Amino acid sequence: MRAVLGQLGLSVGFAAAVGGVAWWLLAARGGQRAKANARLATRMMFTGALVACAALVWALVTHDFSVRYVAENGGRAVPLYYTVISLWAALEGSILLWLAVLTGLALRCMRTVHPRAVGLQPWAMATLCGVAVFFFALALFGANPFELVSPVPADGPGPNPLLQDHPLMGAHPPLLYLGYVGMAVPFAYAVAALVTGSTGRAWVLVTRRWTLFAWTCLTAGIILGGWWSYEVLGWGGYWAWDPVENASIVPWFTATALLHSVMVQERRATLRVWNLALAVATFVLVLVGTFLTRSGVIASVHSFTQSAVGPMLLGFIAVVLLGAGGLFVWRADRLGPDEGLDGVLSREAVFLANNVILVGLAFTVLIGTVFPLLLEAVNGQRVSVGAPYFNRMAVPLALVLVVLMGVGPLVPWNLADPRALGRRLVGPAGVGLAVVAALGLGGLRGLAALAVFGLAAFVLATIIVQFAEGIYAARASTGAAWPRAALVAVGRRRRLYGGLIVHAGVVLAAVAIAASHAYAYEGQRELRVGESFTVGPYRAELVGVEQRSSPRKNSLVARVALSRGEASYGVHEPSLSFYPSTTDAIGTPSVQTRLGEDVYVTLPAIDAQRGVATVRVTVNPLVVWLWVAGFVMVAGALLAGWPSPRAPWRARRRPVRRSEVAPAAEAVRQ
Amino acid sequence: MRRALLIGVAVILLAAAGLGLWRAATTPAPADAQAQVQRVAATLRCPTCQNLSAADSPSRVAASMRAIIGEQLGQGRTPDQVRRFFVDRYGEWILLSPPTSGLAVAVWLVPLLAVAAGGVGALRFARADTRRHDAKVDTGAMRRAEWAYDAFVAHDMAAAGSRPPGSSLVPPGDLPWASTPEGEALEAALVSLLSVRTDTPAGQPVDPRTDRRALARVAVALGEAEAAERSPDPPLPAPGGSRPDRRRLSWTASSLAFLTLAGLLLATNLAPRGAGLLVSGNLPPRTPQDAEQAIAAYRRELATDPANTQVRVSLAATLLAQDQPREAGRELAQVLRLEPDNAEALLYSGMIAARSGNADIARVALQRFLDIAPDHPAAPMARRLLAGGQQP
Repeated sequence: MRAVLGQLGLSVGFAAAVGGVAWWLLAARGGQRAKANARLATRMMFTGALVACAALVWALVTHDFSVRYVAENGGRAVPLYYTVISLWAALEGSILLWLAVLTGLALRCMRTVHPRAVGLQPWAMATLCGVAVFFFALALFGANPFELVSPVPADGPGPNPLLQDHPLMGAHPPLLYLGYVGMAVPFAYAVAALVTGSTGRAWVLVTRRWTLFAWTCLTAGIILGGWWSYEVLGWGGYWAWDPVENASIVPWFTATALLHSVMVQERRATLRVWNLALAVATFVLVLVGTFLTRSGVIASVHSFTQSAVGPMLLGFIAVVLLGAGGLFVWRADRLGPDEGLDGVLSREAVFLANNVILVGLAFTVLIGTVFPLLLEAVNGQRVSVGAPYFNRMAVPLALVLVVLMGVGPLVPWNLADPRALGRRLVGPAGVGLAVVAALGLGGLRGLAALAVFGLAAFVLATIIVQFAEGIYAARASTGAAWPRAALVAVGRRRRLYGGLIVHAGVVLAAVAIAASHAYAYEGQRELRVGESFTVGPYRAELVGVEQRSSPRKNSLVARVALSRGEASYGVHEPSLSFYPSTTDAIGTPSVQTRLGEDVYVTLPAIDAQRGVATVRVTVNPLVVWLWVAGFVMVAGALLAGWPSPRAPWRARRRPVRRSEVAPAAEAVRQ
Repeated sequence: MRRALLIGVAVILLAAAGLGLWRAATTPAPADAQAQVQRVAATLRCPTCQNLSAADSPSRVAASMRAIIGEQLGQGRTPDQVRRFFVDRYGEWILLSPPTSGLAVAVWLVPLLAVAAGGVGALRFARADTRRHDAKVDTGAMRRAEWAYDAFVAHDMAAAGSRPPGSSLVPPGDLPWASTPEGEALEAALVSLLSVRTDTPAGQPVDPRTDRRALARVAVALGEAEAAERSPDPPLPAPGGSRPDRRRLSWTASSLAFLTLAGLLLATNLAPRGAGLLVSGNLPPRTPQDAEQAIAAYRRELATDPANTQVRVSLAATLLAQDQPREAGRELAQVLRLEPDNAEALLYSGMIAARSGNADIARVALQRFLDIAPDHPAAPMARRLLAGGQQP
């Protein structure tokens, strides 16, 4: 029943997507009836995906083990919340989530037409429907969650144990998917721009906020993923340069580059090919990331499955690359010549530098991730490319990026006067140097960390200067009190100040990463109940050892009392859990989060009978600020991208009086 | 006086910061043994984990690696010698940092070269167009550019994005401005002027030279747009070797080259690695009935051709998958009698021995398997078993 319903949803969605492609193509040629059909098909597509998702959730919740996906990922003992989010616990279900997000975005894309995108939109919609055709086909023919199993098992193993231990699993994958799939919209409009040949400013204006939306979700998803990894995996870190993590950061780099470089094209008839290529590349990298992580090509923590999905995805990547390449060839006459810039010292040039660094980072991480595969394919040599490589290659580039974040917003468009620029940079540079001097002479070790702190102080100073100037000017012009002047200043130029807040978040993240990387320390000891040991200023005492059993898992828990001097930080309970579906124990850390540093307690080994446990205590400085930085980045992006009452598609509702525009038009004509 | 003071402060700050950096670089990290072990372990991969270093992994293998590192460092070996020790046992694969010799050096050089090339390209692009700087524009054109700007701003404020009706500059169609290259250039120039005038640091005056330059660009673009409007049919490009054709050709060539390369690499990479029995890839029959049939078929074949070791190994693998290790072991013993160096037979024997707790036999069999077939797809698993890890 549920399987039939789900299958039905997928089939309807698939058919609607195929119809959507055809009708949107007809609509692009001006057919009005085709347009009505196309809109209907798009709605059907969304409905189909929703029905499929709902059917699978229903099957999961009602423990319908005749459905293969439920038999493999459901379990009677799994709590309701984790049962529901098992929708994305494995490949087949996550494709359904992907479909729901994609068709939902297509629906939104259909409803809100930028007035300048009227000619582009049908082509973009056809592209989105084309992408949906592929993913519906993937769900139907490659990885169908609604296959039936016989005989029907009485119970299932539950989702991967790592995924049923932390509530963040409910937020991290959907956000990541919103970010991933959201990149399909800029891609679709880039294709539309290429097809129609209007490769100018229009598609850039239309997709700016779509890109920003996808970027925000991707950022939040990546940070939450780090948080989850930190709280669940228990190795003490949040970023391991794992292929799955790399697959999410590579499109993030190119999307960030795109967000910056389109600002140049908004102001100049230039960088056409570059921006189109970035939009296409970001989506292709999303697909490549999905391929790398979902096909089992590179085994890692997250690649919990292998299936026929790999070849299908690879084929789709080839189709997208070939198609986009063909469009570029076909439209080569509309892609140039590009207008040059006025000089090296200009905002445009800073954005170019930013793009070189960001794309360089994306390229480096991508090469590093696939290099073991490539090398083995070429000469059979087996090598590892791990954290030391990525740190050595990416950190210098990231430092340059931090410098650009400070300098860039102060450089005016077109051409800067070096002396004026110098005058504005002197103060913040002084702050940065002073911080380096104070911390360095104060005995802080580590060149890289110190450089990050100095640069961070410099960038934060430039940001504060810009906010202060804006508020001061607003106060001068409105005469309002400070808080109100601040609101006015920010309200006037939300894009600028939103962007600056995002920069502040990035800088905060850089500081947190540098500090936790350079100054973490740890200690480990085998303790009997009642014994204790110290790590730095912290004292850990083993209070007790317990065994806790539930139908879902058996856990061995060490009760560790943590204190620093006189202050007690309570009793922590790191554990080792045994799930019926796995042979290895799953360790769960316990984290004492504090503003200055986290104390991270893990349990490498435990013997409940003898009352002995090996306790590992890691002190990670400033980690909490990384999560704060994530919130700051998202807040800044929301401020920059929140629809304003003057947004074009709202303005459309208000009829434009001819008398308002006629003088303008008259003047332009002269 | 004030200037001298500023310079003095700057010199002092620079010196202090330099001193601070120098001090931070020369302050040694804590030299206790555990931190040193962690530093070496962080460069080695934990062989049984997925993408964790021996320093981060909580697994037993990583713990024993850390113990070995501590022991060897205690005997006065250098970190490089310790790493060499692990490379000799596991191959270059154990190092998390890829080697800088042979073909692997590409992973270091290619990104550096790409970033350098990108930087050079961007620099050349940024300084490419200097002709508009000093474009001689007469006052009349400048004044008309100002009018166009005012109109643009008024239009932008009145109806953000919608088409000004009746404007002859704006061609009919859904895209109001940018459907001709000239219209697009004009709009871009206007937006650029807008950003020069409004996107300055709050409270600071607009640089008059920058403003003039941006205005001149508008004037030039306006002139070109009007000229294009007066002659709606652009002259046909000269036949043969026109620019679009050249661009098309170069796009096609480079796309084809790229796709061929990517296709070749992927094709070689996706080809099955290691034919025949894969511990990971050779899926056992799904149901017991299938397995029974397969076993019966193998037995029939062996009845006619008892020396076919390949079939006998398959039979043993199926038996093993059906949880009949004793029978499987008997078949494998026969295979090894005929072919003492049959890699797969050694592997399965080792697995059976490890499962039944015969650690010594397992070690001998697996070590021989690894000596014979170090690149076998199951080699990592065998190493894992050897290192004392769990059987999958």
